[in-house]
Amino acid sequence: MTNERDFYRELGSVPEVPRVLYEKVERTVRRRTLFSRAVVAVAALFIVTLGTTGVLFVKKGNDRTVSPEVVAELQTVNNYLTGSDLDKEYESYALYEGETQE
Amino acid sequence: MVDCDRVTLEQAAQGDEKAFRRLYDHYAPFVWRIVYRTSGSDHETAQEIVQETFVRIHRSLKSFKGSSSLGTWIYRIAFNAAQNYLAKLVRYRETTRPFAGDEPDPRYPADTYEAREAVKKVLDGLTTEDRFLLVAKEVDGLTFEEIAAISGKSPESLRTRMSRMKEKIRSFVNSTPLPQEAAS
Repeated sequence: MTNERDFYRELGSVPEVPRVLYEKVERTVRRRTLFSRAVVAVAALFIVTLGTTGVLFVKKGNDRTVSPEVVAELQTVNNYLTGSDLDKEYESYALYEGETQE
Repeated sequence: MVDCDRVTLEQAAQGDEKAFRRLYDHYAPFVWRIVYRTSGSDHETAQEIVQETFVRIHRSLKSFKGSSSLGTWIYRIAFNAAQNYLAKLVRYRETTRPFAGDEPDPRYPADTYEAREAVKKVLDGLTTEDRFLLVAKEVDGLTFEEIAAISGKSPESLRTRMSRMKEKIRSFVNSTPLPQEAAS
């Protein structure tokens, strides 16, 4: 059978890195970059639309403050750009991949 | 592990695809090996985790401050990706189907197959963290301090766990009976 030395040698002996793996990484990076740009574009469009329709600013006396809807949207964009949403994104990614395991 | 050069790192962080490819070529074998074993030698799962690891690396390269070595930082990302992915995979499989058992592969000679089975059985009985610890220490030769920086555990607790694990492996390997052919 095997001895300890065989065991540790086998532990370090794994198949080669699959050749297609880098292409998969590249494709996913491109897809997510496109997605992030689309999110930023939609957010910018949303803000411009609100701005031009006058919803962007809520008048409170002499102060002009940004409306809560815009703040929430900006927060979403900020989370995406800073990576704060990574865990949520990963959760849905893992779930999706899990469903395709069969 | 020797880290890749600073220029490659900076170029990759600036979005240079060729530099990122060089960085991938440098680290992928290490990441692949540890993830492959951490995932219980499941080829498909390992591919998913390594893919996610490098996507995260690509996205976070600009934020790498250099407070640890690049290798340690990459191991940490791989460790987190593996932990998250495998925890969700286990939960998913508990509700759908059990893990599929490996059938003997006739392409491998008997002694290699036995060693593979021994590795599989031992890894099956370990947690994701312990598998990572075992490969990082015994195969990749990382120090307990480096593994502590990756996993967030203290070097002392890692030493203790490693010592127990090695004892279990020793007793498992020594207690496994010889096959009929070899014994006769």
